Amino acid sequence: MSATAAPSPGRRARHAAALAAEQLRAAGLLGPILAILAEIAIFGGLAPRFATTRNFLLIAEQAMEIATLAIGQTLIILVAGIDLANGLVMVLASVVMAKFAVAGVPLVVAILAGFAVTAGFGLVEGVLVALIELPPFIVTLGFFNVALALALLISNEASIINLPPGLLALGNNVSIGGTEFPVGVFAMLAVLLITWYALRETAWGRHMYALGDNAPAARLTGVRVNRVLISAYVTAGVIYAVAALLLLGRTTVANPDAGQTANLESITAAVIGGISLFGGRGSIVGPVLGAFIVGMLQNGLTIVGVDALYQDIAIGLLVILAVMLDRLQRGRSVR
Amino acid sequence: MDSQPVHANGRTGRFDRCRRIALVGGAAVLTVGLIGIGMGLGGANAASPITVGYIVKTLNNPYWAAMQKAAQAEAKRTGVRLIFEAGKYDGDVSTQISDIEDLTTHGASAIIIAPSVSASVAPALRAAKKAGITVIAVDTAVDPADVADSFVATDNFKGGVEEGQWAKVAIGGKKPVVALLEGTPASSVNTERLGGFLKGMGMTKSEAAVDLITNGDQTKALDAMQNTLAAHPDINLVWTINEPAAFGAYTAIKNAGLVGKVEIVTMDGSCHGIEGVAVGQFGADVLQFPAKMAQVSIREAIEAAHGKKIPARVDTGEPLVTLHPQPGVASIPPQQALHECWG
Repeated sequence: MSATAAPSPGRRARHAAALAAEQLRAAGLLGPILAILAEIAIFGGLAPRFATTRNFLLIAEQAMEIATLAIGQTLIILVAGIDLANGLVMVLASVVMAKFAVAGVPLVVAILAGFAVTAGFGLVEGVLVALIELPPFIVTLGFFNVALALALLISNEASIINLPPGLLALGNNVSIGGTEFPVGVFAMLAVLLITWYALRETAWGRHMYALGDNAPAARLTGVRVNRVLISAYVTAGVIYAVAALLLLGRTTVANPDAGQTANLESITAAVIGGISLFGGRGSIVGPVLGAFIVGMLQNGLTIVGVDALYQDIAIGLLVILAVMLDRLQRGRSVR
Repeated sequence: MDSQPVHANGRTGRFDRCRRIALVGGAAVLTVGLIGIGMGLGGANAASPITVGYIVKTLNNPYWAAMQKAAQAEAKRTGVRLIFEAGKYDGDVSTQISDIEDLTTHGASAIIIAPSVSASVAPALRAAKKAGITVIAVDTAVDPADVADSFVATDNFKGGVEEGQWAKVAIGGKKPVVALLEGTPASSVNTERLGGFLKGMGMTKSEAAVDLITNGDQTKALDAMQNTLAAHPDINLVWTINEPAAFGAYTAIKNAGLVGKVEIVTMDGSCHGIEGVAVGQFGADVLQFPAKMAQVSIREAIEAAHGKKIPARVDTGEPLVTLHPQPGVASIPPQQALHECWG
């Protein structure tokens, strides 16, 4: 700002900040972080109750389910795919877990059954995409319907209620230093941390990016393309089962009608988080920030008193804005 | 090794200055639009002392749209600030829970809610009550019921009894051969309406010729009725969960050439449905009053904000509408009901 008499520590700090900003920009995270700061500034100015620890934790709790789905979604997008089924695969897993648990099956077995369902869906989808070479869009659109129908069949088309507390554990709070933290948010962060590490530090992770960026080149350099592709869908499936536990904890029932728009919401989070829909590009942290941006927007708009339909307009505009900013940034980064 | 992107217009490569300016301009307009939605709509009427949060199941259904219109009119008339939210679709529990939490943070005086799943909103509503917010359920009960301070709705069981009593007399001396087109089993509305109908008819569920699930969906009801008529051409009475199911059933009956031989009873009270009664498609329909539910619940919210006690249950009424009144069964003609229907 002021060029007069800038002391050298200040200049150094500014230099460090510029460097950090450049790194974030390279990872595609600068835009999402700026968006979050902008939301905090705007809503904080409009409503004094917005910018409180309590409310920020609430936003995290409201966004954790979509954030978790978006992590799985991003794995599939990174290998140049798309998952239209993830919301309903999550719902199916929640119904399976609930059905088993209510029937008196040991809790661990009930939960593992849910994981088996989502991983199984991922395996079949991955095989169809990798070995039979079907387009991911069509495969997952098909399984969207299969998962929806199975969830309705298994639940007899009604919500399963009175679930054992163990199944709802991710909806609980833990008190740390007098503040109530939602357990589910920690579960989501654990999923993020593990995925982030695997993508960044393991050969599997580098192969994912290589495959998504240029599959023929990856194949020529010796990446076992089919194996990596299938593993992306299976890993995403496992993550969706965690999302199912989050959904159960938050809503306290297994509702076969839930999750109908979660697929698009997870894609929205990924796009806002700077993930390229062409694959091979973007940080896994981005989709989580994307889910938070949308969650914060909904929360802030409700707190300042905006009705439901206008909120949907705002989210639609936000997606287009995010892609525009991403495009601007990419255009510049090549110069 | 940065591959050149290919655009939808067939061009490859980066974009030029002109396009960049357009992008920056577009982004600026969107940003202003977003801020405008936040400030312009949110700031309106902020000085009002009483804020009422209103959450319905979804807005892609004329029933809830009718309720929203009435709620907005009542809020304007009484000078309260109304924040109207809804799930993205019927069954969108996650959004309803978030809305309850956000309205609690906002510090609303009251939350009026039609829960998509009765049991799933209770924890969030308890937290709202703890924060001193009055909780009013409309149309659909909260489970457990005592989480709500008041419940404003149609008495679905009573409406069902009226349907059953009317139908029993209307089919005259014939032996009833009944088809049940249920909505969503285990939903409170389905249980209450069907239970009332069976009581009014004086029959049990197993005495029905067929019992099928339609989810209150017109197409599913059409399929169900076609299959029913193929197996049981002697059906003379059809009970339907709501008007979409009734319209589906009527289409199947018409296609089978059985108009006049089968009575359809239903419950909803939209103007479209009442017209169906007026032209003889349905034997009887039961009126519901979403607008009245909105008015009563907002008035209750104001009374509670002034420290007055509000009733635990308000029955907004469920009159039977038919062209053929039967002795011993109260009803009103469709011409009169057309002044009170919704949608």
